[in-house]
Amino acid sequence: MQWRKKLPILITLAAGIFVVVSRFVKIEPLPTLSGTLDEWFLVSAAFAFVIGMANLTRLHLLKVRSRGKDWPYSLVLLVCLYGYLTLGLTVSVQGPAYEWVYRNILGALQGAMFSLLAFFTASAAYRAFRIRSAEATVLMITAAVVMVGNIPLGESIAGGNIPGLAQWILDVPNTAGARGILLGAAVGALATSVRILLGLERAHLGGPGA
Amino acid sequence: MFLEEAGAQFLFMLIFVAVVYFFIQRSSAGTHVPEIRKVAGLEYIDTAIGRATEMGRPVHFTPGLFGVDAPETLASFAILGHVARESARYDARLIVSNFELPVLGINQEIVRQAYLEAGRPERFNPLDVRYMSSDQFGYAAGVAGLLHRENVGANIMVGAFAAEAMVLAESGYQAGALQVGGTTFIQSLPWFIVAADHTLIGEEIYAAGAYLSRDPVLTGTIAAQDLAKIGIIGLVILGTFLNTLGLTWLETVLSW
Repeated sequence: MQWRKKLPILITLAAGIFVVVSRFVKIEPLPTLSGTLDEWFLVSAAFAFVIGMANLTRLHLLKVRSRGKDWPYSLVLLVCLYGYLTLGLTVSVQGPAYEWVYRNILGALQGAMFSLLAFFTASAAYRAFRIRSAEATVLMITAAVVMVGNIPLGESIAGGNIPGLAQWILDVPNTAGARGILLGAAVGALATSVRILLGLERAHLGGPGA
Repeated sequence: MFLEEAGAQFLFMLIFVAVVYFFIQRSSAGTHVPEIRKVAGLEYIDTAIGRATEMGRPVHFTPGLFGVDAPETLASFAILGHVARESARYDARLIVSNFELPVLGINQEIVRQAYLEAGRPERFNPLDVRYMSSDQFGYAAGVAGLLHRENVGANIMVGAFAAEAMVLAESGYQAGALQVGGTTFIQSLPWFIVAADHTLIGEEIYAAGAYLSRDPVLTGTIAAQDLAKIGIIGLVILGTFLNTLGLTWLETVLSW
């Protein structure tokens, strides 16, 4: 039982130290072995596609069989999933039919989802910019300056100073804040990696450390 | 032999590991370690799960776009572990949506273990830990639909998020869910700030594992993290000062 717990931690530690060292030290066979390890990762990730398909199929098949809520959507998903897979396997992924579906259906759907961002952003911004606190006021004023500074109208008001002010907000306070967050996040990521390598944080193994 | 211009990086990493190890030893020996400040977003996770349970609505968790090689995803495992344990304790239904397939397998195991620990293994439904899509907006559409269809009461989004963060957070708001968002991605943070009830900003997601476990050894590593940040800030100030004076030796040393 002890080994069942310790073995994954030991493998994590060995693989982690190896990858970190091979990132810095370029003496053969370290780079080659590191490349092999990357390939193993890609192969094991490819196997996971089978798990994903099985998960989707089981979930939606159950829904269709039990005529659960919105079951026709599940049927559409299953037809699309297996239909596109069959198309790829029979006419090849470089074939015109496969390409046509990708460009004219998948591309259009992705574009439609992306365009929804404008509406979502507008409704979220409306709530956020309502002046309820000092922070919301700062957010509203800053956003207004940056938005006005980025449209042609911005150049013709306040003596043309708005675009310059908007750029200053982006370049100075915004960049300073962003870099502070990035710096903290980088150190945090490093600390998390050390905790995982030392086996202190074992949430990914279904254990404690969280 | 040694990667060019990476010597300082390697040295920093070694020093950092040594500092972390020192703090681990210190806290293991029972020496006082500074307490972590209250992180409102992490505290709110329990409130959101509790409220969702009271309303009889499910809890939803998603770790975002990236795979197991992303530190944000690794951090999300610790938060999912906590969310799953709390959901199992309250006997609330937990739904986890995944973008990456290897992450799906790990998340299934985390949730299964949590229900097992809570003594409710029969309440774990493997199909509630779902694969959505490995296409960014396919995943966003799937999660948005799920939030509405399942009438989710608490929506916790912690990990790596890009433009789809707005779709997820706003859909959660429209579904009436209590929401916590967290990421290190600068471009996604504003979406969470405007649409979620609480946001974990940057490093806060990495502190979650230690914060939620209340383990003094893990908390010690957060102190090491803060010490490293103070060191880096010191270097930034020193570098700015020296460069202003036209002295570039620090830049040369750090580019070694």
